[in-house]
Amino acid sequence: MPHAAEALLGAHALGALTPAEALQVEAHLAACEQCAARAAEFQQIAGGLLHLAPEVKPPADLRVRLIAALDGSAQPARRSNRAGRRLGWAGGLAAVALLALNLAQWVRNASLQTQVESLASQQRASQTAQALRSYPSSRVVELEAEGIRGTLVYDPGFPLAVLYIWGLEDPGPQQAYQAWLISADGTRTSGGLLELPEEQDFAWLVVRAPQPLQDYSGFGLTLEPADGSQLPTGPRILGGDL
Amino acid sequence: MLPDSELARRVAARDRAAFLALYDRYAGRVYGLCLRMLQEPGAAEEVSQETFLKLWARAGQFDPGRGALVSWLLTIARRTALDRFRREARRPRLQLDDSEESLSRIPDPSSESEEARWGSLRLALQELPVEQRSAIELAYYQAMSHREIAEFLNIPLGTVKTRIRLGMQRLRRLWLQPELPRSVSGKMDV
Repeated sequence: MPHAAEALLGAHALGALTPAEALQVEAHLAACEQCAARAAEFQQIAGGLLHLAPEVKPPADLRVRLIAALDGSAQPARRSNRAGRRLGWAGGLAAVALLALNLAQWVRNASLQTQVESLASQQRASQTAQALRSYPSSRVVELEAEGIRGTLVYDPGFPLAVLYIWGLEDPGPQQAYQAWLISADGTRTSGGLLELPEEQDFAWLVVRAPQPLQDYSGFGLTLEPADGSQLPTGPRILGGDL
Repeated sequence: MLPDSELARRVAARDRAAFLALYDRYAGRVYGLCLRMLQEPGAAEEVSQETFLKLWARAGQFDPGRGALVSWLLTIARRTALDRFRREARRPRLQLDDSEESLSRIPDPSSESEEARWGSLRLALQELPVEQRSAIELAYYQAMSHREIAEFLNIPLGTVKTRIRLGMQRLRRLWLQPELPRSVSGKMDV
């Protein structure tokens, strides 16, 4: 019965056939150009169905968890030994430390040294975010302003938080971005100055506060002189409620 | 704005900023598909995360000559979700999308953008009888076989086969051969 498999081509493209039926169809396609062309059209439709699900904004902490997961897997691309793949997070830190040692010994290059320090700082921020996320009461605040997005991870009972921000412009050597924690009475307390590493589109900061975060009602970021300010003096870049 | 192919090339060279740029660009598409398939936010988040970690690990395998990065990424997401179905031997209940709300988002079909193509496919799918559409959606998004769909909908196996066959043929006519008269494609609804 020629082209008996033709009736199954649509189901084949959708993945609705049993393995035996799929084999039967594939054997026919190998021998029948006409049906192979038709099957390609059905595959095109199936590929198109991928794009029909409505776009849904994922929760903000998915991004934070992804960054933390990257830190666990962001090994050098060429490394291939199996023991190396099992190193995990602790191994990642050790690898960074070793890398720093080797670079200090072998390369007197200030730029590279800066990159290593920046990486270690980034690792610390990610490790802190990961630790905070392990508490069931942890929260993630999504921050958004024109062209700028960020997330603040914190636990209300702890005096620290981790801030990640994307889309900030380089403030230049004379200025820096400063984080602020806002009390219910309006008092602003500095949360530290943001690192803005070269060749990275995002910045991070482990925010250290004198009180647990539950004692604050808001968070803000302003542009200040390079050494920071006692109180906010520059333009507000973004902010959010805690 | 850097094109996807350049960002993918940078991700392959372990550029985290490029990776996060792609995440920002496509997280909503990936999460939306995962949610459509798994219908459970927690599971959709996990599969989305797994998908992007696969992008991080396999970006070097992406070939721009074979298609758009978003299609490659969504294919990874679907396969990852299907693996999860198989691993857990479970399927979520289907919620049929009978709303017309999505139609308002369809871009101008006269443009030749990818989005316009998917918009016209969405329209074509909406034109199918709901019985054919739901059978196709169960097969594709929930990876159900003919027999599983028959059991799920409590209808004869032959009816499921006919619905999928006619529905796919009709989609082909509506989407890939839109110049054919509608009366031809409108026959034999089941």
